[in-house]
Amino acid sequence: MEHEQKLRHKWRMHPSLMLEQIGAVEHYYEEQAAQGLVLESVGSWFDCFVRTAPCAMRYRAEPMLSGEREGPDWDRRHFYEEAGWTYLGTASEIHFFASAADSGAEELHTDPQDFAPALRRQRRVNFWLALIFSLVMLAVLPLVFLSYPPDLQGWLYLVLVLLCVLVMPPGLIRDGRWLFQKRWQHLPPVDHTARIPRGITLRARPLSSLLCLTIIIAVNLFSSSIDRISFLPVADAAPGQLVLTLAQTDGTDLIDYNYPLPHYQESNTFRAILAPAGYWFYESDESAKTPDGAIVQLSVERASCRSEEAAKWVFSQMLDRYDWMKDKTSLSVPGFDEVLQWGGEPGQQINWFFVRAGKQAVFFYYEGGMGQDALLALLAENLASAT
Amino acid sequence: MSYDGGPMTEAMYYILLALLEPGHGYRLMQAIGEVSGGRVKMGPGTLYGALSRLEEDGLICRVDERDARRKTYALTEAGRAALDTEAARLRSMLADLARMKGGAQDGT
Repeated sequence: MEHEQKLRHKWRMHPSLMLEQIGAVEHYYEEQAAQGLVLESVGSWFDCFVRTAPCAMRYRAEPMLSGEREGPDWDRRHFYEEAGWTYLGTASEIHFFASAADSGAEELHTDPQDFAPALRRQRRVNFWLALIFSLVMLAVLPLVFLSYPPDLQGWLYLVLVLLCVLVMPPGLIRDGRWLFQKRWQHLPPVDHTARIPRGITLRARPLSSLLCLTIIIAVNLFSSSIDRISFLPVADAAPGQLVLTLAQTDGTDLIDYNYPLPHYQESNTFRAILAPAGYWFYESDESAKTPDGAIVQLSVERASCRSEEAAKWVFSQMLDRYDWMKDKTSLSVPGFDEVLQWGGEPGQQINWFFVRAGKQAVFFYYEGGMGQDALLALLAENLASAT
Repeated sequence: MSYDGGPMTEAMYYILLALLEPGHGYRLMQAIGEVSGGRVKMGPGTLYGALSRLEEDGLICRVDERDARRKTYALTEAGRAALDTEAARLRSMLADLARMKGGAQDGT
């Protein structure tokens, strides 16, 4: 019985088309019915056909109204059924209905302008999405070039992203002209005999999905490439370069690393942070064991900026980020322009510092054997050597 | 497209005319055919969209029925006034036509 059921049904990918080309989809279903494949239901991805004797059917589509994800409401469905049209399903925000060719049912839509609001909305959404996406990509790409010189692999990813951007303009121009000329005001009747373009399923659905997939992969690979390629010593970083660096704040008592390290990372544990052009930034987080077995912890976020104003801004960002630390004490320490210290919760041995020296802003916390003065002196020495 | 008080489309005029008696979707479709002597044919999809727009414009409203799922519509005061205005406009147009034709015949 189940085997028979399988034989009777045939599933095919739904030919997703723009609303204004919907006549071609209707005609495609009619052709299938004439060949003995009668459409039984429509889904977002797949249509279900039933094998029968060849028959003449009419299929009609109409745009979904807002809030009709589950299909037309009872009243509308019931009304259409009384008028001879059976609801089959919804795909790409379009409802599909069927009626036998000899049912005598009145044409579902007798006024082409019925589709005008939906078509206009669709075009506007497409237009603005494509425009915003293109502008964002155009704005982001130069920033990426400024702050991150890519290697061969990086170039490949950039080309992939660029290709995605290049796909946008034809549709953008087409939709823009359509909207500018207000073509929704005089729509031609739906051509129910239009032919479905060859390979439409391939072009319409998988290609757009493939495009999305490419973008996702490209962005992921791109981000991963940043992680790997920019794993450089601070001294090698150009101003404005996105950099992930080895720690330069290792104290004499930081000996043994406990953190699990990825295969491409030789020592320490670091995270890349996307920095705007103008300063580089790194964050390190270390745990170490002293020879007598005591645990030492050091976490550093450091931004080296192009100007003192930029450093002040970054410094204020750091303070905002750690706003939850109340009652920070301001210290006057030679070699630093600003130093704020927070002693942690009562009973804690951790010291938290916000430090700015010229063009550099640093936040770090330390738990270990070094005293506050020695720690700040070591940091001042490191900052001085870095600049 | 919302109604701005100007000349009505044929579809809109016949929907309002058919709604002099409250009715629901399919009954309305038949009524429009009957009222227009079969000259105006409106598809169910077109009619449904038009009803939604007329309701948004406040020219028609839903009335309670035993089956709450079924939407039955009736003319509002604004709808009745719009229909009267349109009827007056059509009468005036016919009068103009008659006068012009009469004048032309007198001239010959």
